[in-house]
Amino acid sequence: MIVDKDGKLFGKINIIDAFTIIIAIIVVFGIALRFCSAPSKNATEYIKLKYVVEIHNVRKYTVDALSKKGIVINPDQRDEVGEILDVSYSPEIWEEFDSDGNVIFVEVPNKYTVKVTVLSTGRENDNKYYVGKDTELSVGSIINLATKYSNSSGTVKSIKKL
Amino acid sequence: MKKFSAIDVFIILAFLFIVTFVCSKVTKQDTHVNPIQKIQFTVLVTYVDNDIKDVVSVGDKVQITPKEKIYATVVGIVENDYMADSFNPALKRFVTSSIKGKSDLLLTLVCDATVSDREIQVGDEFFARVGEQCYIIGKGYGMYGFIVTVEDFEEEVEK
Repeated sequence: MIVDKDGKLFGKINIIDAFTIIIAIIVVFGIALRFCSAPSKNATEYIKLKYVVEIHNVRKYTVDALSKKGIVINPDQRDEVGEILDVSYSPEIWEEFDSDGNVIFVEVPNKYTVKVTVLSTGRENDNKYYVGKDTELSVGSIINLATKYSNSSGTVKSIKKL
Repeated sequence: MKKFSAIDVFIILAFLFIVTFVCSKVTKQDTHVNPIQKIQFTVLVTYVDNDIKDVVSVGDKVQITPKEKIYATVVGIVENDYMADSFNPALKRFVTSSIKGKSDLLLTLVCDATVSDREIQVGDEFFARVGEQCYIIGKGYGMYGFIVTVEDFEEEVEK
């Protein structure tokens, strides 16, 4: 009999106790898995990465804040993903149609495109680059960049292993 | 007193492990955290009615987050005409024009914050960074905008 007349599994453990133990094991295992697992089983030693992020359609305020440089963190996990080496900006350019239906490139007033060069200590495996705790870095992906003074997101345009 | 069974001991140990682990993660200290200091930041509130400026006053104590009770003091108010940019196909460029009855408000606020080399934290969940959304909730009014400048007085000292 699986559950006896006293409500014990196999006559040994109370059902409630057994359920509590199972929940406790799951929680401990889940926490260990979430916080103690490495980003990649095949990650190599730390390497130096230099990557460029392009941020579009921002005001001059953001340009000025990014120009203060400093440490860059992932705002979601608050782990460090590098340090700003260089900031350059140019007027924001959009594609629009003129009255003849032709595509033309026009400058947007008071808006800028910023290129941020970041130096980071990351990891790599056969398929991916990682920075910070487990932020995957790939050309074309969107990355959130937060410094002490600014918070913005942009597209990774290039990655170079140093 | 009833003796503890092996199962009770296991449950207690598992519970203590979980509590210890969670506390260690929550109370993890940044090695560069500084004591609380004053910061000043400016919030841009766009496309508001012209008369909204009259309800906000220098010296107002405003709540800057929708849930957590974090307050800042208004120390400056600047109103500019709201300017809209639209593309004119005939002219082949953007044209900027004002909209009657609408303004941009630049509100300068002061509050206490914890400043480190990677963030300026106000309260538990608000980080003062250019680009962050910020609420301005005062007595009888409420609006929100985006932070456009942040100054910590440590930066001023370094200059």
